[in-house]
Amino acid sequence: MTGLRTAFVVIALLAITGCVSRAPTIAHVHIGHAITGVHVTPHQEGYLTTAERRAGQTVDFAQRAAASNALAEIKKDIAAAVKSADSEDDFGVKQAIVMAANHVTFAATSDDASLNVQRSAPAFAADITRVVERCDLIVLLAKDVEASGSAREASIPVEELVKLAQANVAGDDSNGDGVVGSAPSEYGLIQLRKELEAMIARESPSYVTVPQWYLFNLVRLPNGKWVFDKLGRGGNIDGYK
Amino acid sequence: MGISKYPAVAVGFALILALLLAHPALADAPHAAAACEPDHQPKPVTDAWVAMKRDPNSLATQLGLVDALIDQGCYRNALPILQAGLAQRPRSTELQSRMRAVRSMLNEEQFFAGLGNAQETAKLQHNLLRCTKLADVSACDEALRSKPDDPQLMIAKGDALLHDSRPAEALLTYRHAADLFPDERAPEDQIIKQKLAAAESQRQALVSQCQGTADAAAVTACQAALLQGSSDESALLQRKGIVLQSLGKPEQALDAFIAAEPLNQDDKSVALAIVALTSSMGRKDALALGARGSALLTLGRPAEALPALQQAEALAPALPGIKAQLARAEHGAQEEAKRQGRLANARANAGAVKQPHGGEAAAAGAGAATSPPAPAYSNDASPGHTN
Repeated sequence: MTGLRTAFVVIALLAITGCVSRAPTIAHVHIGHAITGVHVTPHQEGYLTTAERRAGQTVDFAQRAAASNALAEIKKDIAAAVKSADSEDDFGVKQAIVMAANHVTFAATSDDASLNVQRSAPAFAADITRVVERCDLIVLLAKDVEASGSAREASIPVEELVKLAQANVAGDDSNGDGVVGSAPSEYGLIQLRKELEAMIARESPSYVTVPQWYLFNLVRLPNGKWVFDKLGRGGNIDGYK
Repeated sequence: MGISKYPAVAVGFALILALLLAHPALADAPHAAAACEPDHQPKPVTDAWVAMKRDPNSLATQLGLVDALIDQGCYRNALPILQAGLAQRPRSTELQSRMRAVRSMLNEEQFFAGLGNAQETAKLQHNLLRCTKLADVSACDEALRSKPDDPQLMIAKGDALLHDSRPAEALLTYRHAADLFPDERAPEDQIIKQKLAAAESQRQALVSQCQGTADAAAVTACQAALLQGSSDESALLQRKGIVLQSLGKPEQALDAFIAAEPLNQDDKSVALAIVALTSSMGRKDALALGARGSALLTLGRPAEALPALQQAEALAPALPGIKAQLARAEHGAQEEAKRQGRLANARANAGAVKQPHGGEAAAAGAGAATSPPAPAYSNDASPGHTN
């Protein structure tokens, strides 16, 4: 009898201390896709993390081009920089940040989304615009580099491209107030991550990192409802990426 | 107090108001699909509207209308219906979930519009960059198409033109930029003054090159220095014509003289060049014929001007000044005919007086025997008149 009582107490304590966990909210899983992991990205990392990694690569390639005096090398590095910034097939910065914004928007439209997420998602989606603009501008400048007949001619667009790539990481001070990233029109990925983290910090009940099983098994039914695929197929039903 | 006492009445009123507002909202929505416009709504939507008007307070009819609108992608139109419905039933999960979906779709529309704008903004920034850093005049023009009244951009275009050795165009562009700054004491105004001075200095150097040399570069210099309305405009055009003629390019030379002619209509050297070039080239377009007629008038040959001007008018009745020149030529030709008539009469009278002394033939025979009369030289001939 005493043994039975002890077992009951142990089970009750385990339940209280969290060993019996509850599924995360659908909204939080979508947020997890933006920041923690998703099955379609190259390293199954979150879209924002992909954007940050690719933005870093863009800077590296652009700086290597800027340091070179050989036109062929410059063109090769700039082509690689463009691929990091804007590539449909390889999750460029542009595609990754747009997907991050999409998933934060999905979070806001989930039935279990908090008011905080519902209010913050549209702002985040709007604030990624400057990063997208810079990616588009990088593509245009790369065309100028490609059309250049000499390393000297290419140097001006390359120099601008380096600045844009760096601003996509750290932001810029285009309004000249002395503060980098003081407004959304100056945002880079550092500011966007801060914005997302601030949204998460305001969550109640608090946001906890979503386990991978939930991240990879969220599917959308034909009626538009989000559910977890109990068969754990890591699926991509209804085109959800 | 009054309204809160009758919440159902207030909400009903709000719903009717939403019904009234939803229709015009369709036309206002910038991205509204054709199906959202009042006259093009499909049957499910119109049926739902009818049901809603019949029973505006029923949740079923509200949801029916909202769903019909959502099915057609008319999210903006569904919004006031949902707002009014939620005011009536704030805890309705069905209304709440539809409201979330509608807001999400509207945000998405805005999001994609933002991405489209990002591409346009990037293009503008690219053009600005090419204009300011690479002195690409066509990029300046592209950027000015988006921001036509941007003084800084106008200055950048002036700089690009100056960099491209086109000071006359740069001067016009800087002047335009100065007009765009409302305050003459603005620091930018001082900068523009300095840039105007630099452009004028570059232009004067080109004027010297145009007037001092006679090669292809001189032609380019004449053209680049050419500033509409400047005191040297006519001289530069004339010089350009002369250099082109010397380089064996009569067609282009004629164009230069034709352009110079209206600026100085009494200049007989320009008139002579036009007459000579139109005669040798046989150009018969309205512009050339008009210029030839005008040049012949300048040279005091209205009877010859008349057919050229008549042909020009027949080809291009709207040619500037053609009618006035034609009238002048007709009048001059008549006067010339009268003068000729009077001269002929005077000669005839003079012959009749000489007749008693042996007649005209005798006079001619006598004249042939004597030395010819000395030619009359005059200093009145125009300096540009050459053979």
